[in-house]
Amino acid sequence: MSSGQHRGAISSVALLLIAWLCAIFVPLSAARADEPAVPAEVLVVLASGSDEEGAQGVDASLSDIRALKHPPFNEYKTLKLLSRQKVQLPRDQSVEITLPNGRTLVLRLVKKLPDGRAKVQVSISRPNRKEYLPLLEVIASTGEPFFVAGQRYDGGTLVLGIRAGDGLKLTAR
Amino acid sequence: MNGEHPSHLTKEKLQRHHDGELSEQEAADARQHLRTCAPCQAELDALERLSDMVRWSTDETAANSDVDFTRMFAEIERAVSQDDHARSSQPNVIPLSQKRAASPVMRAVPALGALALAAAAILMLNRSDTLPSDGGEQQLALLDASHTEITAVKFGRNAGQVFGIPIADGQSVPVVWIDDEDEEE
Repeated sequence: MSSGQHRGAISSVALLLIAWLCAIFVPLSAARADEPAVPAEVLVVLASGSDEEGAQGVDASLSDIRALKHPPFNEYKTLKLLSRQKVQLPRDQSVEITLPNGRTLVLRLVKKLPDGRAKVQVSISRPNRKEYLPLLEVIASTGEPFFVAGQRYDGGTLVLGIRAGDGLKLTAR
Repeated sequence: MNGEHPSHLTKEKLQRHHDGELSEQEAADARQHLRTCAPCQAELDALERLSDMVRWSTDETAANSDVDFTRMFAEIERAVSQDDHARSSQPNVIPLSQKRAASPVMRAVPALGALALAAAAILMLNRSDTLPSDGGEQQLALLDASHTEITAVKFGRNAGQVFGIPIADGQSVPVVWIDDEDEEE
């Protein structure tokens, strides 16, 4: 085989390989790009032991969350909803939510499960410091939220309620 | 030629060796090298043939003033071509042009192979994500699709605990409680 024929054969193999790679990656990347984001909801609640004037026990908007009626949450005299944010989680993209204490809650959708639940990574970072909560990985359902609590804030404790999944209806409140 | 390979004798050294101008040590080294290096030996042979021809030409000139320059140059050309032939017949000498032609092919083959392996690995990873999950994860999903579970947690430098709050229907809501070591920010 002459060097010209040899080069021609190598070029053909290379073209075939490139075509094969395109055939694999183009549909995969297109499928991933088309994959709809998963809705998520983050509730930021301030739990406080003090019975301040104006405080009215558990915020009415939290009455549908059953876990808050159980220990340790029901041991606080007031549960005040500071914010309720609804976000969309595109796959493999971080979504940041600024917390009242200046820290940042980061949510990232790892993948959707066939049953509608979502595998989500959660972390809490502090400005210019090491991460406060480096990693929390959860398979979340759309029902009761899971909670990340314990951060001290404004004389009380922050309770973050998070839920995510395809069944979550994000309606404006 | 000789200058391309550091281990070969230079033309200048070969010429000096041929002329007997090298020191004893240099000459010994050159002889040692020539015993094992066919290309240098061939070049030395060419030098000797050339020298013979010049000597022959000089003798001829002395005997007959009518110098046959055509014959002399033909002999020189023949000697040079024999020298080139001797070098090209060495199996370990690859002309530079051949090396250049082979290099892209040799570089391309492992690169293409690596690409194919990487593509296969990524394809397998992606397929495992897009297909319905199996094993424990799938079993949990079949048992209770509304169940939320914590699969990993790193508290960093804080202490903390994970527990569940039992609610109705035998369900439990997971809670990650961080023992906040920081001053309030």
